[in-house]
Amino acid sequence: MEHIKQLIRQKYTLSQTKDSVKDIVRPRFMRLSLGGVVETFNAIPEEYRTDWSKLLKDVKTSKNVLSNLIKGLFGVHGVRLTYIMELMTKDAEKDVTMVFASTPDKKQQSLLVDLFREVLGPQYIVELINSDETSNREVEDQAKKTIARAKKTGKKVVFVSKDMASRSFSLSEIDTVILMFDRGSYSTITQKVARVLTHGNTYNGLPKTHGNIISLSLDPNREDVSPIDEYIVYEAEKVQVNDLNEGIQRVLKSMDIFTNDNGDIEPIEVDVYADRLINSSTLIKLGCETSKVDKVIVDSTLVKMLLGIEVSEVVKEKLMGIDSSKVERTKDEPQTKKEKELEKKVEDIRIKIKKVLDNIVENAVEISEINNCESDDIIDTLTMIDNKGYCNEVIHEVGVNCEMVKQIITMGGLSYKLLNTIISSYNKEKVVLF
Amino acid sequence: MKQTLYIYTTESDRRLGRYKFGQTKREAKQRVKEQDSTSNSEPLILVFSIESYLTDHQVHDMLELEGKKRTRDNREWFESFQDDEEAIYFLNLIISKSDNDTRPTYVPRFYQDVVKMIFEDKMSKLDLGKKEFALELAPRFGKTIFTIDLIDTLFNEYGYKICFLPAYVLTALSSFKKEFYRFNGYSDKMVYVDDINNLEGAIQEHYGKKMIFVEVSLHTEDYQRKLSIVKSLPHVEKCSFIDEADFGTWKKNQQDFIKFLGCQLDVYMTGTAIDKVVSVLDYVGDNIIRWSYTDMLMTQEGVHPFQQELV
Repeated sequence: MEHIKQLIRQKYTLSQTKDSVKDIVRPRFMRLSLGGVVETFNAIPEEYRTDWSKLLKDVKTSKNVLSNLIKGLFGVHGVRLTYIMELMTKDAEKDVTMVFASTPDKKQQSLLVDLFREVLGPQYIVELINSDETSNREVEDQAKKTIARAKKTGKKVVFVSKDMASRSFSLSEIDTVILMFDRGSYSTITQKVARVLTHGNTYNGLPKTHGNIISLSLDPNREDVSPIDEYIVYEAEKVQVNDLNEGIQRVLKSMDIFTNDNGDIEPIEVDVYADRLINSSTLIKLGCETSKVDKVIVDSTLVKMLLGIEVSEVVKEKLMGIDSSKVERTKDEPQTKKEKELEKKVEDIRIKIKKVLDNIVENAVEISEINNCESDDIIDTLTMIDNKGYCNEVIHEVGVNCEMVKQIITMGGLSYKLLNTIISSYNKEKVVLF
Repeated sequence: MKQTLYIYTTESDRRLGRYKFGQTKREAKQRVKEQDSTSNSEPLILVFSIESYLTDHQVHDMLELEGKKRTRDNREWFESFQDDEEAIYFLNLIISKSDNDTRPTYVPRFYQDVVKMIFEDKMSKLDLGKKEFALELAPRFGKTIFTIDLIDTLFNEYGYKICFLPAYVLTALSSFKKEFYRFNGYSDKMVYVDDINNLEGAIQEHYGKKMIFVEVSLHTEDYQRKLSIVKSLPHVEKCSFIDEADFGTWKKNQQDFIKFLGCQLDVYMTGTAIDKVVSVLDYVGDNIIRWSYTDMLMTQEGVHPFQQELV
């Protein structure tokens, strides 16, 4: 790398390097929680204490809750509405908003769009983005036309999608992305967040400097892991430092994050948030949330060793994602018996592997204990345990041997940096008695 | 003499795929504003403008040669464009074929240059065997033009003569063709084949003289037969760039397809989920290059490790 740095020094000045990214859009995260509401209002209705997947399962039943949340997110001026005042996000422009909502099917998605239209009124153009309405090739062009129409009539725009338009969909006018799901794979979160990062001009024709990402956690328990936490940790993993703690600090310095933990929306306290993210218990939770079953599934031999079963090619592909070319039914046909059986088999394997991965994360500090906390590196720790002849103790704790744990980590099934941070923060906390 | 060529449309015409191709000696914006008179029922939207030695009449003639039809005889409006991008693509294509190419020249941004340096540094350390790279590049990296430029270097300095663009998501390829014609310096040295039925002809005419880009859908049926000519080309002269690689390219059928192409160098590119991509690669080793959005933001602040000691 020194050779490359030297080339860079010969070629660029600091100001030239900064100029090359001057139009990069700065993300502004709003990590909102109903936790702040709890402090203002002593009680919170039961129906709020849920998650997005439950809430969006039946939009009609959740209509009142969802209406209030939409009003809370978009702001209802001059009206005081119980439970939602703290969600007002007036600093986020929301001239063109993209909502990614985890609706279970197109029927509920359509009902949600109707609800948005009803709640937001005629000043908003609310457009549904799904494969019935458009195609991947045409979606961007159609969205451009919608924005042009809105500008002409002075209206604002809300696009509602589940996953569609989360790739190759670049419109600089999109100023806000709202994440209405509890968690997702880090890759889908990254793709969705990126929809607000297209540079260019805003809806008002001004150069775009920032994009808003709003994630609303419905669980009043603030210890939960939001998609924004997952995004931050994933970005931190990519920063070229050895420790996740340092990576998180670095990411947090480069991004603006706001929260409503104390009622009002205000910048997050970076140190407190970083501490919370790297606190062992949060990390363990995060490690479990972000364990990647897909990475393990690709290795049939490892799956066989972990679960003692053979994984056929069909099951493997199904485990890694649905291949549309292999779907045997048309849109409205019910699932065939064969498909149902395959899905059940796939789900069983996924759950079992997930359990194995979670078990390793939950017992990472125990593994470090077996090694007398002599290393802050999980791979070194496992190698040292093997060399000391204590591998059976690892099998006792997590059900698999040192080599297999190492293999899972190197395949990306579990985050290496995250496990290092878990054990190093534990090792530091450990009281040494003389 | 140089003048400004421009494309404009209206909201209704855009929906119908209609665009006007005109010219002016002044600024396109001003010219369109003048034409945007009260006699028009809708505002005119300036889509694109570029300086050129061509006249609009020459552009109109060449549009007709490219198969585009005027909306009415002797009018400057043309129809059947998919969108603004396609209209721009055709104008750039026409300028690329003219004697005086006035399209802009690609100047790599700092981060694009850094990633290219890292790529070349790693390439220089590899032996003659199979090579795999995985690139995870942040949103807004500008990976399409970066890739085209890198492929140009692979032709000029590394001896690669044909480059496949296998894609599982077909929209991943749409920007390639447009970018290929947007900048000066590529389309004259490279050939873009967007239909594998034309591959044999392109190989016979251009192989070794120009880099041949080949769009390949990873859903192509009977690809072994349709692409049989590929097998006869030396593997050290073949490379592939697989965009949106986290989406479907790890599947067995698609991997078999990519292996069938028999390239010495396969470069997998993605915006996210690089581990999913890497998990099926046997030769990638540490040829993994990541440039995250945080890297972009750190560069913006001037605190990126690569900016250390810069003045």
